[in-house]
Amino acid sequence: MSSEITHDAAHDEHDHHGPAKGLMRWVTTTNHKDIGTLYLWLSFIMLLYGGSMAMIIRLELFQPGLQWVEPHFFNQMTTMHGLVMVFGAIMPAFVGLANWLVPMMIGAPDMALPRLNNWSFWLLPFAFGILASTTFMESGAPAFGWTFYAPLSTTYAPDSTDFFIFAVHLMGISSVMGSINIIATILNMRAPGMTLMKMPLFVWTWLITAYLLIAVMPVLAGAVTMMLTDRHFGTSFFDAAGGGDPVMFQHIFWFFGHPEVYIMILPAFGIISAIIPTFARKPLFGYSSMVYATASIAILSFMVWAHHMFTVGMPVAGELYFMYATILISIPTGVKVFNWVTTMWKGSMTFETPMLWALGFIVMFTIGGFSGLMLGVAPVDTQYHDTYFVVAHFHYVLVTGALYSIIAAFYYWVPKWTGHMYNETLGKIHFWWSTIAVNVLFFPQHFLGLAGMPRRIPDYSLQFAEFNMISSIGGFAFGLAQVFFLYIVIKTIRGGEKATDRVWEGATGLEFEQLPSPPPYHSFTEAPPVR
Amino acid sequence: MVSIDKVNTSDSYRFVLSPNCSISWHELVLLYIFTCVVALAIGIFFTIQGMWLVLPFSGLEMLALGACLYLTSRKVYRKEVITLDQRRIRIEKGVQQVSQSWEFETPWIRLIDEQTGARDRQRKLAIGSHGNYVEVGAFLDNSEKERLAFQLKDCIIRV
Repeated sequence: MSSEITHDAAHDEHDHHGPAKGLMRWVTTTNHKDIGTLYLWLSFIMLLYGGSMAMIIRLELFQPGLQWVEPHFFNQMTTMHGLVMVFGAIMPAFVGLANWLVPMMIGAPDMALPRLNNWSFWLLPFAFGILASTTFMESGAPAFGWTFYAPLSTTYAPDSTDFFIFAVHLMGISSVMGSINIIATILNMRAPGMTLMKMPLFVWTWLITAYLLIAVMPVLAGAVTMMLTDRHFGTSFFDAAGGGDPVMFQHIFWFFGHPEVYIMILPAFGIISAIIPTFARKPLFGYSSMVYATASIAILSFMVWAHHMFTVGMPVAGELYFMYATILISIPTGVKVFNWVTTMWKGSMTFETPMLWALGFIVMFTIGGFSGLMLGVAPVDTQYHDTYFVVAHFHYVLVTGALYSIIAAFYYWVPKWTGHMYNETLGKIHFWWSTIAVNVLFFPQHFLGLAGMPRRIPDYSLQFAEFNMISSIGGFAFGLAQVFFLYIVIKTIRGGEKATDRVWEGATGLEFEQLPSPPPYHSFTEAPPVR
Repeated sequence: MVSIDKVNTSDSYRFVLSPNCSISWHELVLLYIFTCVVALAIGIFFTIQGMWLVLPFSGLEMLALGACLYLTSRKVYRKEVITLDQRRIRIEKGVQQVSQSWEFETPWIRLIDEQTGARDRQRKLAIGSHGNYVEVGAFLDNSEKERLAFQLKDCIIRV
């Protein structure tokens, strides 16, 4: 006789329903595709929000003198633009891509912790709502730059800084939960036969990125908490008058901030490593060296933080160490660039829109890498530090690097996600429009920086006028191009030529070979065969 | 996504069912320890520099990571063992050790194989008798359940 009765039918039915109807679908969903879509839309909204602040910045800098905004408001705009773009646009976009793609790429039915996934996303709109609300507060939004150096963010900070601190904590919790989920999914839920060295590069880069996030997020959380206690609870972590050290804030910030740069670029490497072989119709050259290069970059990213602080007054031995360690990063990064070029070598290449964005990434990210090399040389950095050269450098890395890869990913995978092909002509117009505009926007900033124009200023000397005007024209054109992108996105979602299951002739991977376009709401309820 | 391990001794059969798991418990623990060492080393480094508020966050985060990995492991390291001989059929479920078990008399046994869920897409296997049934292999996909059902029926007929 049996000693216990078990009936789990209700539980099983949960696994096989389709999407719920109405708005509550998006609030309560635990489906990785839904949550990926939510992340991607949030990041697009944040891109337009952060972009609108960039438009204000470029409008004010269009001509010398103060025309449109007060200097304090200008500082609020530079601060909020940086924070929103880094934490609101780029990072959530990559998490959205991870949500959509990682389970499909490893043959898993969903993320390992679906409810946690829902919570990680829904923290973000509240975090950014809180952050955005500071603009309308009496003291105005934080105006101390996205690096929030003490004592600007402690002793001299506006009251709204507390809201900023709370928002950063929420973003941090969201990032940590997202990372834990990605790690648990990749480690535990790969389909039989999907060994680590068979995983697509995008999965590898996200696994390493998730580890970076896990390692550095407590540092950010600690930094903002110490800001809070310095402001309200009488501590002096960063207050020299109380025995603290404001320079220590810079160390702690950049110990988080430099790996953060790689958090925003490693998944981009994974995306490019998926797109280039597809349109070159050749397997990726040097897969294992790509994996090791990614891991090397991640490890090195913890050892170079003080290259952001060469002018702070550190010993020459320290400058030398951080300089050599920084230059060392060019080796694994070079491995990647050369592998992409070698993959294309003698390939049967075609230039559809995703490939154009990927090629744009390689060329312009390399320009950003080269200016990074220049900034990494301590004696040279003394001249460039806090100039527009730095602004040009990190925008080449983050806009033509990270953002370009995200847009490339959209064009590459959107036929798979929606079952509709985007309009190729519009996609190419979007690429060329953006690429010309982005170079008009950022390339002159190199010259401005070399000529000595400081960053984060609303007014400037007359000799910088022409390049600033050119840069602003590029900025407006680039901003408009992304509104055009919004039109392409909506048009593609609403309809278009039907995409085939494989989508691209040279596409490989489980999402293209084993799933239809669009994929079912619950994919891989049966284990896919892995070659 | 399962290992159906059928052991056929002289007059009994044993099926070991477990969900797909792409990393062993041992490897997972090693990886977790490594992550803790890195995260806590960073926390301790900043504590030595006087910035002690990093360490509690590192600790909290490692607890969260450990809890989440443990929870996912509970799902993927569970096992179900079905032992079948002429007289009895025994079903055991648990993670690392038996936490639940059931016994039925083999001559009375019934294997229920039914379609459930939307458009009958989900398959449910249950073993029992006299109105008491225990679901087996809930974590298997449909093709694996079909294979398991076939093998179970075959063994029941043989014994």
